[in-house]
Amino acid sequence: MDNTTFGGDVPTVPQWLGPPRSTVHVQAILYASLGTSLFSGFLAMLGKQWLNRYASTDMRGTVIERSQNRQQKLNGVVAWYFDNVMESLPLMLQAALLLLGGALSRYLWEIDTMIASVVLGITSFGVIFYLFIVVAGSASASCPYQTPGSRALRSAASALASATQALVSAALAVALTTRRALGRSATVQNIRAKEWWSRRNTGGFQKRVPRELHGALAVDCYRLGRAVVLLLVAFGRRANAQLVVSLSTPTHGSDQQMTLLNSHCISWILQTSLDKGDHLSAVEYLATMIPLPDFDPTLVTGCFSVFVGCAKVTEGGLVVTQGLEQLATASAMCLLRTFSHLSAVYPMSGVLGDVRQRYNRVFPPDADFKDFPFYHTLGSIHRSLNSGRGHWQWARIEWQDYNPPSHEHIVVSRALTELTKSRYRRGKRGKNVLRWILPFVLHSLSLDPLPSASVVVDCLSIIAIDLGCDISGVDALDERYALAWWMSIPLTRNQLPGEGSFETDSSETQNHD
Amino acid sequence: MIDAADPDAIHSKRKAVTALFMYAARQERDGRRAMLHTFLQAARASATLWGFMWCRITPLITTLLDEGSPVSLRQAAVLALPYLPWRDLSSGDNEHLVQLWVVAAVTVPHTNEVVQSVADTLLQTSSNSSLRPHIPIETWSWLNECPSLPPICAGRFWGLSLSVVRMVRALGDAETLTSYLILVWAEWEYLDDESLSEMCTLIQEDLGGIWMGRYRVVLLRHLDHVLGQLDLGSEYLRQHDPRINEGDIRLRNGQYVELKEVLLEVERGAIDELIREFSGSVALFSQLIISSYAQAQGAVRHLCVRFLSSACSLVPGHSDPSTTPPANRL
Repeated sequence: MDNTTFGGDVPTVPQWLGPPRSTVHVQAILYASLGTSLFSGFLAMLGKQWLNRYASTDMRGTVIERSQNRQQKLNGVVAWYFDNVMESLPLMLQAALLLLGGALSRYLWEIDTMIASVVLGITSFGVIFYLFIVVAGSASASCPYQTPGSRALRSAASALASATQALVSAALAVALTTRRALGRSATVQNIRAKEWWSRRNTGGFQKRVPRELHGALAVDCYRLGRAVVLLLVAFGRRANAQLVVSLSTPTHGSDQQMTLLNSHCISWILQTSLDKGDHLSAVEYLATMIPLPDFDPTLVTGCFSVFVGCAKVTEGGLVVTQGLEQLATASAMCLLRTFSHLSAVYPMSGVLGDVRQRYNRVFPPDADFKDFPFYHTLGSIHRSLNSGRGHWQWARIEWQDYNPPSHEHIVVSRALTELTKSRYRRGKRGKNVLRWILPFVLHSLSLDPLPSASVVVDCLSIIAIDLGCDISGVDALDERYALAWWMSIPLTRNQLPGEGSFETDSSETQNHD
Repeated sequence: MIDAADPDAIHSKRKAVTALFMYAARQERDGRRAMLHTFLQAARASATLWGFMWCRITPLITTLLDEGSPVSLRQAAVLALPYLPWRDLSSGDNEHLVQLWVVAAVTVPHTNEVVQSVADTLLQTSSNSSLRPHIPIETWSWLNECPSLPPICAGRFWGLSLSVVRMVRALGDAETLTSYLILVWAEWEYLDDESLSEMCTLIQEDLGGIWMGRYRVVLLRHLDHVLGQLDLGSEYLRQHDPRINEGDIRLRNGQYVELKEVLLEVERGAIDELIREFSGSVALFSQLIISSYAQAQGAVRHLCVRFLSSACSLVPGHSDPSTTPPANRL
């Protein structure tokens, strides 16, 4: 193909006959705005369907069962980021509005700048206002103009700060380590030594350094290689130990999930329901949950609210609303249990301090709970929550006549054990066990017949902690810990020379038995 | 973890250890005696003069001592009772405890540990003025079984108090008194001045005389043993009681030497009395023998005369000697 292909005819370039380019751009933006609006409308309709399904009651049963069903749905909502999807709808509409404003401004700019400037001004104002509330919302958590953008910005800022801090500390650590390594390096030391030497013999220094540095470099290489090998070995051991632990630990995933689900249910019922019957069902169900895993801390608040709703203190004495005695008893038991468990699991939880403050506002330190049906539970709660002040003003708990049902005994002993373990973990080694707990242990171990094995184990755990045994990593203790402690007592102490140990004649004893 | 070899550390954990006692007693009943054994060991190793066990255990021990309890439980309670804070117990329910203890002590097997425990408890109880009147007199006969008490023993310490010395003295039984003195006189304790004075008095007044000699011999022998132990020095004694120092040893040595001297003085007085009585007895006996001899001699002479007269009467023409004048008699 050359200039003679078309002869004398010079072909003309085809001209664009459609709307101008600016109009196309404006149309594209407008369609984008329209599409976004329609899609958000579509999602909104779907969301309405989803929420209808969520709100529907698709099963019957007790309040606990219905609550479990609701909690399962709620867990699904959280797991599938339903709230994020729903929050994207207004975002899409806002984006559509922004696109519409931009397209309209662009289109009107071609027609008349005066009219366009009005639209542009309003759109710009809207954008600036939106940016302002995003910044304000991210700067202050109490700002009422919160938007998804402000939340994201706040998270990003927090992450950025953490990352910056980590980077700075890492850089400092690297610098420090490098400096130390160089300080210990045989090569550097060799050079320094030669430098000192070279002040007197400058000429020979340049010649000798390359020859003598070989050995120093070899030493450094050896040290570096050894450090890398040791690091790898340590890492391998750690990984192996972690693997062994993970393989040997039995998995109770489904049970834990179920218990966690139930604790959420109960917490929700206690916080939202006003029906005392629902409250009673919830706290009674909670009382039957013996192993309490990581649970919702607001459960403590819920139990406390229910308990305070049933009882009040008048002139130093506790008064329970008539007809709510059973609820007061069960809620007090659950309050003791959840509070002690939270103390053991999350000792730094803010809920603990909050409940303590609320308790101290309601119950004075010298509140008298004697002659009350659940006096021992109340006494334990009072000592747990009110230990900061008026500790010695309050009469001690008398356990002599405490002979509760087995289940209640288990719950109380577990709660007191968890309080003790919490104290132990906080490192209060001087007085490991609160003094008011030991009488409970003494009484429980004195019962004939002995209480259930769980109570005995808990009591022995408390004693072991008080004796100073190391219980870290031990779930359940027995008398062997006390025996091990005792066995270290020298046999000859306070014994007459030649005197034997305390050994009784077993045959005699058995005969008399 | 605290050092279990330190008695103070063990004592600071006495509440926790006490809380295990009832459990240990039940283990003993079921045939597992390790816990009770170690409990008693801990209590003994960290024994103080004010008791080891927590006072809250007192009502629970009372239930163990009840007659309905198995013997093993009663025995466990009897063995643990010396470690109760007896000085702090007041009258009231504790009177019942003393009565139950006395009954239980009789019914459990009399092993060495039980005898030792009962003696220890008895001395502590008797030092408590509110409980003392409730101790039956027969209980003191336990001291006659010659129990031995550990070096650090609250029973011996409180048993040396003046009130206890007077009470034992008031029993009026020399054997019990001697057993008591043997029990409380030890190289591990010293006596306060009042008790020492009272003991000297009782030695002079209650253990004086010829017929108390055997008790004095036993006491002298025991004092020699105590003084011999004190002569071994502080290092030996500190192995069992770290609180002892040289000053204590000198003080105790002086006190026991004084007691020994009093005993020896009483013994000398008794010997003098014996000699006096012996010399009087010899004179009387001699006189008796002489008079008896004289009487016998007269009787023999009379018999001879009678015999000769009878013989003469048988010979014809011979006169009866009895009828002859006295001047002609043999």
